[in-house]
Amino acid sequence: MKKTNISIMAFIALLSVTSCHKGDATSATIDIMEPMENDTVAYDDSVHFEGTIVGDGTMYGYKLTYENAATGVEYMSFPSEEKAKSYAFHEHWHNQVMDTTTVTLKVETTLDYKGTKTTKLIQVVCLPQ
Amino acid sequence: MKYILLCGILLSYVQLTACDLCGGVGSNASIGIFAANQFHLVGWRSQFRSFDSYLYGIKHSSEVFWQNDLTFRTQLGRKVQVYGAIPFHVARQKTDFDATLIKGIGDANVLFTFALIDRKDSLHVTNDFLNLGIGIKIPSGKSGTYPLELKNLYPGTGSWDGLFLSNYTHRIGNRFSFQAEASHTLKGTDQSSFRYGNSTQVSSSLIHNRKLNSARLISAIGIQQDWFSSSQFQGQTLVNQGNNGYVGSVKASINLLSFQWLLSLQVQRAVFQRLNQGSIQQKIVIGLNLNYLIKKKQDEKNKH
Repeated sequence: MKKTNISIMAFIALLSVTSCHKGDATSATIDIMEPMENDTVAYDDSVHFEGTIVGDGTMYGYKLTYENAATGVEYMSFPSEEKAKSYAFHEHWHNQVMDTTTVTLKVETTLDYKGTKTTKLIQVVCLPQ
Repeated sequence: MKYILLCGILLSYVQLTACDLCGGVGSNASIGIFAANQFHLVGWRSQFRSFDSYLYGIKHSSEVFWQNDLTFRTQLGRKVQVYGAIPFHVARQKTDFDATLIKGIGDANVLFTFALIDRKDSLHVTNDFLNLGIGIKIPSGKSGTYPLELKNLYPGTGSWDGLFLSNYTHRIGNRFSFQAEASHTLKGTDQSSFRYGNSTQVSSSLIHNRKLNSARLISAIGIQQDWFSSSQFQGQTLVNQGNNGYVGSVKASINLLSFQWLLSLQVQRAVFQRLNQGSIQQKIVIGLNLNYLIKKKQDEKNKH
């Protein structure tokens, strides 16, 4: 009898854990509206980063990153842990590079509670003064 | 108390919002459902407005605006009233990444009204009352410079605006009255050559009043429509983010009028709207007012 009770409790616990995450996304479509691939950005201009992320379930946040494509040095990032089925983003980074630099703009979305990620990249060319 | 009863539904307030389209839309001028009494008054008015902003049809940010006004009204003779308000404004925008808070003194305003029609019955109860008003909004609050993205969060618009208003109240039986109000705001240009579009508001309300012990309980339901023209920059109309659009709302208020105090609660909810090409959705608007009535001196009464 005791074993049966433990089994039922374990089953309920398992059910409740899995049901908490049954609405998690398994995939997401990331659309970057701006900038376009290989756009050239003048010195002192803003690199406008705008787009949408639409999941097939609830996502656990996303991160926007501007980084040097050659060195991987991160210029700026915007992390969010907002849970939602879709996101619309619109951020800026101010170009003040010293040499002509290819900058990677990255969107990284967290699909589920386990931290599974999906990513989309785009590159622009930033000009110095 | 008798004087209050004779005056009917009589106090008033001016509702003017400095921030024209704060991630949404501020309202035009209004002196509300109380439009015919001759008390002087000072008061405090608090209004909470909330909006959601959308990008590609997906919610991008939410905005809340909390405005607190110090208000006054005084009677100059029998037909002319002067209204004024000094607002203090708190605005908050929350995106997925962070929250921005902007607060400060807003744009003060002053409005002069003239009672063109003030028809009373033998008991001096107002039957018909038509008020015409003209005023200005002064750029006393801090404003954002276009194309600053958060310009609409600032407490001021940076411009001198002209206000025009008409307000008609008609008594229906002993307990009801009907009110129609129309206002138009002519927007000026700020220092960066940015100009919000002109705006217009029409509204109507059905008002019920009844005695409640030694006070009066005045309740009202109504409808309101606001229109906003497109903003301009350096004389050119802004096409994409022009702050233009319309909002149709239902509204209700409950007002408790005692011998020297008026306490009011207003709620407004948009029924249909299209602001900034649908990228902004106005949500609920809640207002709370507390006014202190200053009784007239005997010699002032005698003049009337």
